[in-house]
Amino acid sequence: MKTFARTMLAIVGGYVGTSAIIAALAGIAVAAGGMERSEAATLTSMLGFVIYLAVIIWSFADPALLRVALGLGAVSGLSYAVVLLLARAPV
Amino acid sequence: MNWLHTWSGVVLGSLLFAIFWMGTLSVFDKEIDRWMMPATRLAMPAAFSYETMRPAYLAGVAAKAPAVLLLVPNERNPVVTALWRNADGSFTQRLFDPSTGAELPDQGTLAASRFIYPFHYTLNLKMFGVGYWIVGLCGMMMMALCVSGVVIHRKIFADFFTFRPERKVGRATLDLHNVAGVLGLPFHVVISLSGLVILFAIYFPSSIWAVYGKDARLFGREAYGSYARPPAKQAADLISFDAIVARAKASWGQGEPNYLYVFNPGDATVYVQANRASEDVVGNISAVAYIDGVSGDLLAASKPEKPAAVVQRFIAGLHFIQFRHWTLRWLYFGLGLAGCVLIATGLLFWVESRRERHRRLGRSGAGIVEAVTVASVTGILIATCCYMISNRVLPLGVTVLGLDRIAIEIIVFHLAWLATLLHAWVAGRKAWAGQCMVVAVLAASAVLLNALTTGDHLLKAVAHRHSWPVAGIDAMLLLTAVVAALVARRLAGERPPERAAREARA
Repeated sequence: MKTFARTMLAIVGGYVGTSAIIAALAGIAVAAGGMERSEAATLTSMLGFVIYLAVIIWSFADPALLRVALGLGAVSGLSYAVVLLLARAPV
Repeated sequence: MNWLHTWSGVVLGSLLFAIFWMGTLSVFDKEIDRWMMPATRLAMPAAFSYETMRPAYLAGVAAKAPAVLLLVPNERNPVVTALWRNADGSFTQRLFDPSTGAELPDQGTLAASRFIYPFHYTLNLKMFGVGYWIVGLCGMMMMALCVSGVVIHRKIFADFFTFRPERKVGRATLDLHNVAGVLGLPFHVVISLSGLVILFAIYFPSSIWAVYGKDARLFGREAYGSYARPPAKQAADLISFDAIVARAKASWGQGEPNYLYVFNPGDATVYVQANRASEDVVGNISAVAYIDGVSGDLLAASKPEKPAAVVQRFIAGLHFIQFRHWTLRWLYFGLGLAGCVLIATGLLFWVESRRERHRRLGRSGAGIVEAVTVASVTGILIATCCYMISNRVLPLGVTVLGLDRIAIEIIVFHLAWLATLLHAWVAGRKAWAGQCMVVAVLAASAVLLNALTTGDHLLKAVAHRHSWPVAGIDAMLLLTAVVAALVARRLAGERPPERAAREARA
C-alpha cells in the first residue's frame, strides 16, 4: 500500500507538480524576464523533464513519504497561484 | 534506490526492450525499406530534376487530397514518395521512379518507415495517443534507472573493466549488465532525454498554455514560423518544381530540400512548404520556406532561430540522426544494441537470482517474469524475422480473408510474437536456447528468401553501390543467425543450476 502511494506520488504527483512549476516559470520568464513567449514555453517545457526526473528520484529516495508529499504539494500550489495571478494581471 | 532500480526495471523492462529494439532498427529504417520493397532498390540519377516529382503531385490532385507530402529522393531513399491523408482518415503512399517519374508497383508493405519506426515511439497504439504516453513514461523511467543504477554501483569504474564470461551465466549476466550500462551510460541518458525533448509540446504543454492562454495554436506560428491559407475552390496549375525549389533555395542559401509539402493541390491558392534537408547539420529543422504555387512568390520563411529553439532542435536532431555520417550511424546502431543488451541482462539477472527461491516457496513470480522476458527479448527478434520473411514470401497484391498484404504482414508479426510467449510459458528455462535457435534459422532463411525472390544475393548486392543497403541488411541477418546459433549452443550446454548444485554436493 505504501509502495503504491509512493509510486503514484512519484509518477502522477510528480507530473502534475512539474506541470505547475514549468507553467509558473514560463509565466515569470515572460512577465518579469521579458522573454519571448515561444522561447519561454520551449525552454521551460524542456526543463520539465529534468524537474520531473528529480521529483521521481526524490520520492523514491526520501524515507519520509509525507515530507515529499507536503513539499511537492506546497511548491505546486505556489506555482499554480503564480500562474493564476499572471493570467489575471494585464500584460 | 536499489528498490526503484529493481522494480521499475522489471515492470517496464519488457516495454523498454521493445522500444530500444525498434529504435535500433530505425537507425537503418531506409535500408530495411529497400530490403522489404525490392522495386525501390534503385540508383539515384546523376542529375535529379525536381520536375520528376510532377506525376507524384498529380496523383495527389487526382485523389482530391487536401495536402500532398512529397519526399525528395536521396541516396538512402532513392524514390519519389507521395503521401496524403484520405477523407476517411487513412493514409495513402505512392512511390515513383526518381529518374523517369513513372509510378512504381505498390509494394504492399509498411516496411520499416511506417511500421518499425512508429512502433519505436508509439508502440503503434494510436487510440487517444496512449502509445506516446506509455513510451514517454518508459523514457522517464529509463532516465531514473540510469540515475539509480549509478547510485547502486559505487564501484562504477571497477565494473567497467570487469567482465567474466568464463564464469557461470548468472555472474556473466550481471557483469554484462554493468559493462553495457557503464559503457553506454552517456548514450542511454542522452537518447532517452532527447527522445522526450522531441515531443516536449505533447508531454509538457502546460508552459505553452500558461503563456499563450486560449490561443495555444499561436505557439506553432511563433515558434516555427508556420503559414496556412484556405483553398479558394478555383482550379489552377502548379508552376515548375524546379522554379519552386530555386525560390526556396534563394531564401535559405546553400542546401537542397528534403521534402515539399503541397497544400491545396490543384487549387488557385496552392502553396508549397519546402524544408531544407538537414544532412549537414545536427538540428532537425534547419530552414523552411513557403512558396506560392502559382506566382512563385515567397509567402513566408523561417526566421533565424532563437536560443531555446536552437537547443530543442539540436537535441531532437541528436535523436533523429538525419545528418549524413555513416560512422556515427553505425555507432548509434551499436550503442542501441548495447542498450538492448543492458535491458535484457537486467531482466535476466532478476530472474536468475530469484528462480530457485521462488520455486522453493511455490511462487510464480520468477516464472512469469521469465516467460515475459523471453518473449520480449528473443520473441521480438523472432517476430521481426517473421515479419521480414512474410514480406519475401507473400506475392504482391495478395489478399487472404479480405485482408490485404500490409495487414497480413502485421498479423504475422503479432502472431509470431504471441507464439513465442506461449512457448516461453510452456518451455520455461529451456525457452532461451530454443528461441535462439529459431532466431538463427529464421534470420538465415530471410537472407535465402531475399536471394530467391529478388535475385539480389549478397555477392551481387555488394557489387553495386545502390544495393549496398540490401547487402548490409543481409549481412546483419547472417551475423544475427551466427550469434544466435552460438548463444543457443552455449545455453544448451549450460547445466541447470539445481543439477550443478547437486553435483557439487556429491
